[in-house]
Amino acid sequence: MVDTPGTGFEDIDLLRAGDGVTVSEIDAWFVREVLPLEAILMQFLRRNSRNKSDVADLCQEVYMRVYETARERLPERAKPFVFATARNLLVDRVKHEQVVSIETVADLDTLNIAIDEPGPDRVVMARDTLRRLQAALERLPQRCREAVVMRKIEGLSRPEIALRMGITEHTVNRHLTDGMCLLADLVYGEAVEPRSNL
Amino acid sequence: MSGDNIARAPDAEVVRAQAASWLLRRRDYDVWTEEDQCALDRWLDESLAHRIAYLRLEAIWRDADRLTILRPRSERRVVATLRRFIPTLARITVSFVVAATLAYGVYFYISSPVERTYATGVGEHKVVTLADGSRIELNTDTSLQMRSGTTDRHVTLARGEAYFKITHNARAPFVVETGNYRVVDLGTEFVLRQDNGKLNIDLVEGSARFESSDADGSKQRSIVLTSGDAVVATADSLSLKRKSADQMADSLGWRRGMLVFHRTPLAEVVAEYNRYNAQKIEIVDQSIAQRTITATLPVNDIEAFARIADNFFGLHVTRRGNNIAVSR
Repeated sequence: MVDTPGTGFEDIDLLRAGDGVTVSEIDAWFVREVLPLEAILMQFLRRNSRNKSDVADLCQEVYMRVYETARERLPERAKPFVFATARNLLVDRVKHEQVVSIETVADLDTLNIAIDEPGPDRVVMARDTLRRLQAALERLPQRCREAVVMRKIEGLSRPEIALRMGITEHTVNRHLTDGMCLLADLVYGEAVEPRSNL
Repeated sequence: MSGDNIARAPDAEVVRAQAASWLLRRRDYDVWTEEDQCALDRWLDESLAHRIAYLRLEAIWRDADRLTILRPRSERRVVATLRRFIPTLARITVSFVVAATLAYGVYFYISSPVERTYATGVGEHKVVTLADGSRIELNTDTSLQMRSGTTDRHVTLARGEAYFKITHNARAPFVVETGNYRVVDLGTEFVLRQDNGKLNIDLVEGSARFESSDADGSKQRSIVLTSGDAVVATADSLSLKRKSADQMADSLGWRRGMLVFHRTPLAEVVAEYNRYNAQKIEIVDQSIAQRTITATLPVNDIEAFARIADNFFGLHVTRRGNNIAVSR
């Protein structure tokens, strides 16, 4: 795995011709192409970052760099571009630390293998989103799930949910915001589980 | 926004929590004012991290809406819910911001809008370009009234079919009303067609919110439509299908004067033709009504249809006064 001949990141055909990308184009591209890579990106960052606690911050920073670059032009292929960005970020991090560990540098040279690892490719993602959401819904903490189901499936308003659950609107809000974050983590952030029967 | 944002990335967890509260307020509260929108826009522009966290949650929260409608109809609870709201379906709203309807309704009465009527006769096609760059195309036999004020743009589709490509303006949402349905949209491309109490919405580009309400305005449920979604609403049913980009383009064939049929039953082909022409086609022999036809034909050229029906589909074409009768 480690000695896969290195296809350098530099020679990747990053950009599509044309300039001036509108914000809504970038937004749509980001949701469609970049977010589905989150599971493997997180995995990649977790494995290659020495400080495991700041993986979420690293991920955020990768996203920001990717988005910033996409403003000029949308990358032709999202996956290599996202991982090239992640790699550069890790290299920058290492450079800024006073002590450079030899292992870190060695690791960085082999990072590109991650590109070829199986990941939720966007076509699969699009087809599976609803099923994944449904599965994710089942995994929410009970009260949180109840609130989300009432809101999204039964279409109740927040005050109605508060009444039904016998809690304050404030608590309903908390369940719903927790629900959003957890659903996003479960749908985007987790590696694809083996396909189960429909 | 500048590259500086990258150097000062805020704590991811904090940003996420803030994004979630914003999203909840914007999409799940009943009131969302222009001031709220400005405040949200400011927050989104503050840091790229904000925008991305918001986008990420919004995509999921939006998809979660669709979970409902795509559930098997056999699920009793869902069916019961649908039954409850459909007969009382009085208003359908398409928008990015649900609650904007309420808030902007107020602005609408304050502003002094300019009112105009646009109409097409049978077989006509008219393109209207608005001052803001938005584009409306009226298909055959269509009539709509346009009122535009400084804080809202309002269209009433009295009959027929129209294509809308809307220039986004958060301060002046675009509202389309037809019969008992109401559509509010903030920057997408869609087609609305209504005939005999049936409303079709094709969402060509972007995304929008589709919402049904009771007569008293209380919100029942909403679905987020993204490009490729096709809604068919009647008084007692509501369905959401996916259409491919090609299918969307085919249904928009009229914009370039063509009707595109793919294995379309003859009965439907004839009904389409009759929308566009004063000269009517009539199927005499019902046994051929379900035969399918794949062809791209000019909307106004009924003779072309007659020739093709005769030469390629082996049908018998006769003149009946001004009209054309088709039989086996």
